[in-house]
Amino acid sequence: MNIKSLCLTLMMVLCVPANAVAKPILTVYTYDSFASEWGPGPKIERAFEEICACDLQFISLDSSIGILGRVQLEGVTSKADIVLGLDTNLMATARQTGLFATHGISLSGRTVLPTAFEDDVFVPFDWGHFAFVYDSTKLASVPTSLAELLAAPDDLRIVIQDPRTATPGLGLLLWIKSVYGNNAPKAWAALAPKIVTVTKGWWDSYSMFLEGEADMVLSYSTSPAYHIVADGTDQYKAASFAEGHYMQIEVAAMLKRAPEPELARNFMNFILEDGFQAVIPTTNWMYPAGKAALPDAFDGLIVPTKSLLFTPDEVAANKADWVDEWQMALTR
Amino acid sequence: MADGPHQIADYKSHGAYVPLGMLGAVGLIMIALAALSALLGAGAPRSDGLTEGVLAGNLHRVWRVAGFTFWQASLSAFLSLLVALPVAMALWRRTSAWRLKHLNSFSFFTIVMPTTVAVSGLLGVWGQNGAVSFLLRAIRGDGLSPIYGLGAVLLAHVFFNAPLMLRVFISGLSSIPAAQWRLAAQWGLSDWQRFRLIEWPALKNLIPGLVTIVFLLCFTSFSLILMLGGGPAVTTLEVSIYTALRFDFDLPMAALLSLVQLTICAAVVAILALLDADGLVTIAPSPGRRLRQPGDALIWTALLDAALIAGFLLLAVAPLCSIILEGISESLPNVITWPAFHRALIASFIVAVVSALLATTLATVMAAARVRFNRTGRWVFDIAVSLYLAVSAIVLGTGLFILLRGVVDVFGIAPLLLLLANMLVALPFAYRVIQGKMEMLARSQDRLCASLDLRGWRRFRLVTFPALAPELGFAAGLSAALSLGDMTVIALFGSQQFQTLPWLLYQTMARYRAEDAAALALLLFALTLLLFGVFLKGATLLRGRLYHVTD
Repeated sequence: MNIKSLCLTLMMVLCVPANAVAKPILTVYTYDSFASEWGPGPKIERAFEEICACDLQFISLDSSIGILGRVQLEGVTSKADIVLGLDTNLMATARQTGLFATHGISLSGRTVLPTAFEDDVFVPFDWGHFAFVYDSTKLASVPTSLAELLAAPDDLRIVIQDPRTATPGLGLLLWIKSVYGNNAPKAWAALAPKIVTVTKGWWDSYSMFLEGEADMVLSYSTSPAYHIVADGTDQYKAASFAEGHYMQIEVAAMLKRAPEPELARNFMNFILEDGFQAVIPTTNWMYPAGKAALPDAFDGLIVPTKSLLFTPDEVAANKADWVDEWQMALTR
Repeated sequence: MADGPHQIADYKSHGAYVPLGMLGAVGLIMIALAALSALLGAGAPRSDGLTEGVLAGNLHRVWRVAGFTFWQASLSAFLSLLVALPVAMALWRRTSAWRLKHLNSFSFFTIVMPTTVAVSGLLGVWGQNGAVSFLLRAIRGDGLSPIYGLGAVLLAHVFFNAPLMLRVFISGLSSIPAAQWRLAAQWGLSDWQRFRLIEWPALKNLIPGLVTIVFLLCFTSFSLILMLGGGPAVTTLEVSIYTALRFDFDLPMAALLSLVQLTICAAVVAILALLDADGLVTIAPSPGRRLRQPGDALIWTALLDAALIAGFLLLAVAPLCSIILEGISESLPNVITWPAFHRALIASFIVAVVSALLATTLATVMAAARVRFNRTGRWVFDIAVSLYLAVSAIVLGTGLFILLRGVVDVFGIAPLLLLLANMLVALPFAYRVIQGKMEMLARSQDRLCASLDLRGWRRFRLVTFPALAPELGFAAGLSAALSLGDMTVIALFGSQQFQTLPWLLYQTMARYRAEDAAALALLLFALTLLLFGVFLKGATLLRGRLYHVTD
C-alpha cells in the first residue's frame, strides 16, 4: 500500500497551506481585480500590516456577488473575517443571511458620499456611477442616452456582466429598471442583439473590450481615469446618458463568526482611514467613500446630472423577479 | 479431465476478486445513493407553504432550462451526424489518399483534448481575431461577427463529436466484406445504389447508439456553454446547477435541477443499454481497405470528396493547428514561470495520475469480479459502474457538497473531492475498455490456469496482465485525459488557493489575455497527450520489460 500512503501524503500537502505563520491572520474575501497586483489590495495590505501586527490575506473570488455566495456556502466552516466588495443593492439581502456582525464604529462625519449613508453593519469604501465606456478613436457615433443606445443599430457591440454574479451587471439591471419601469423587458429585448456576451465578472468584460471584441463595455464613469494615468491616453471615454446614471456604493462587512473579531473590527475602522482611502482613486479607479484627494485625471470625467438608486429594501424585495424578467427577456 | 469443470468452479469461488468487486459495487452504489438522498433532502418541498411556493415559482425556470438543454443536445447530435456521415463516406472513398491509420490516431487528439483547450483553438480560427476573420478582413475588409451564443456552442459540439462519429462510421464501413465491393464494381452500381445496398446497411445500426451517446455528451456539456454561451439564453442544466449553487446559494434549486438532470440522463443511459451500443467501443484497430469503384475516377465525385474533406479539415484540424501555432509565442516562457501555473500543474498532474490509477484498478477489479460472478447477478457490477454515466460530475459534486457542508470545510478538502469525482466519472469508460477483454481472457484462460493452479495475484501477474496491458494502458490514459479536462468539479470547489490547469486556463481566457491563454492551452494539451501517451505506451513497455513480450 505504498502508493496509497504516498498519494495520501501528497493530498495532505495540497490541502494544507504551505506556510504556517505565527502572526494572527486576517482573512478578507474580495473580488479579483481588487486583490490583483495592480489593484488596491497590495497597498492596503502593506498599510494595514504596518499598524496591526498581523498578516492580512486577501482571498480573491472571480466575481463580486460570488463573495456573498461563497460565505453562504461555507457556512459555519468559513475562514473569512471580512467580506469586501458587496454594494448597497446587496446590503439587505446580505443582512438577511444573519452572517454579518455590527461593526460598532461611527460613520458620521467620516464619509464623503453623494447620498446619506448610515448603517450598523456595512461600511462604505468607495462609490461611482455605472457608465458605458468606449474607445473614442474607434467609435464614431456615441449614444447620448439609454434610449439612443437601445435604438442604435445592432452592429454596435456591447459587453455586460451577469446581474446574478457581478455588481455592475446588477447595476445595469437596476439602471434600466429605474428608467423604464414595467417596460424594462422591452428595453432588454432591444438591447439583446447588441450584447456580444454576458460575462461573470467585471474584469472579464473589461479585458474583452480592451482586446477589441466589443465597442462599449459596462463599467464606471471613472474608468477613463485609469487609462489617463496608467497608459497616458485619453482615448477611452465614458458615455454620458441623459436619463441619469445608476450609482453604486461599495461596502464591506465583518462576519459574526470571524476567527479574528478584534482585528476585523480594527480593519473595518481602517477602511475609512487615509491608508485605505488614499489608494482607492488610482487603484480601484472609483471615488473614495472617505476623505481623500482626487488625482488630476478625475477632473475631466463626466459628471452625471442625475443619480439613480433604489433603496436596499426595494432591491431585496424585487431582485429575484427582476433577474427572472431579465433572463426571460434575453432568452426570447 | 473428468473433474475439470469442478476445478474451475472451485477456482472461481475462491477468487479474492468477487468480495473486492462486491465491495466496490456496494461502495459505488452507496456514494451515488448518498449524493442522491442529499439532493432529495434539499430539493424536496418542505412542509411549510413558503418553500413550496418558491419551488412552484421556480418550476417554469427548470422546465425552460431543461427544454433548451434537450433542444441544444438534439441539434448538436443531429448536426454532428450530418457532418460525420458524408465525410466518412468521402474519406472512405479516398482511402488510398487519406491513410486511415493516421486518421485513427488523429481522432485521439479530439477525444482526449480538454474542452478549455478546444475553445482556445476554436476561437483562434473562428473568433473575431481568428484566422477566418483575418482572411475575410483581407478580402472584404470586414471580419466575422462575434460567435458567442448557440452557434458557437453547436460548432464546438460538432468539433468534438463529428470526429468521434467519423471514427465509428469508418470502422463500420471497414467491416464490409471485400466480396461486396467486388460485386459492386462488377455490377457497375451507381453511387446511390452502392450507398443503399452496401454502405447504408453497414452504417444504419451504428446511428441510433452514436446519436444517443453524442446527445448524452452534449446534454451534460458544461465548460463549452460557460465559455461560448454568451449569456443566459444559452444554458444547460449543468451550468444552471453551477450558477444556482455558486452564485444564488439556492440549494433547493440546485438540487431540483440535479434531479431533473439525473432523471433525463438515466433515461438516456437506459436507452443506450437497450440499443446495446457496446459495439461502438470496440473500434476496429486496422480498418480494411475498400476496393476501387468505377465511379471514383469521375471528376465531380473527386471534387465533391475533396470539398467535403477540406471542409472537415477546416472544422477539425484548423483549431488544432491554431492551438500549436498560437501557443508558441513570447508568452510561453513567461507562463512557465508563473507560480500559479506551477501550483495548477502540480495539482492537475497529481489528481490526473492518481485518479487514472484508481479508476483503472477499480475497473479491473470490478471487471474481474463480474467474470467470476457465476450467477445471474452480474448486472449488479454493470449497473454500479454505469450509474456514473447518468450521475454527471456536477450532480455528484452538488450532492457531495450538500452532504458534507457543515460537517467539513468543503473548500478545504477540495482536492480529495476532485479526485473522487474524477475517478468516478472516468470509471464507466475504463470499465468498458477493460471488461470486454477480461471476458475474452476468462473464456480462453480459465481452464489453463485452473489446471496449473494459477490464481489470484500470481495469475494476474503472469497471465492476465501481459494480455490485458494494452487495455489497462488505454483505460488509464483515457481516465487521466478525462481528469485533465474536467472543469465542472473544479468550478464548484476551486478557489484561488486550489486551481487546476483547465480552471487557470478558463480564468486567463475570461480575462482575454489571449497570448497567455494560448500558451497555457498548448501546455495543458501537451500534458494531456503526454500522460495519455505514457499510460498507453507505458503499460505495453512495462509488459515488455517484465515478460519480454513483443507485439
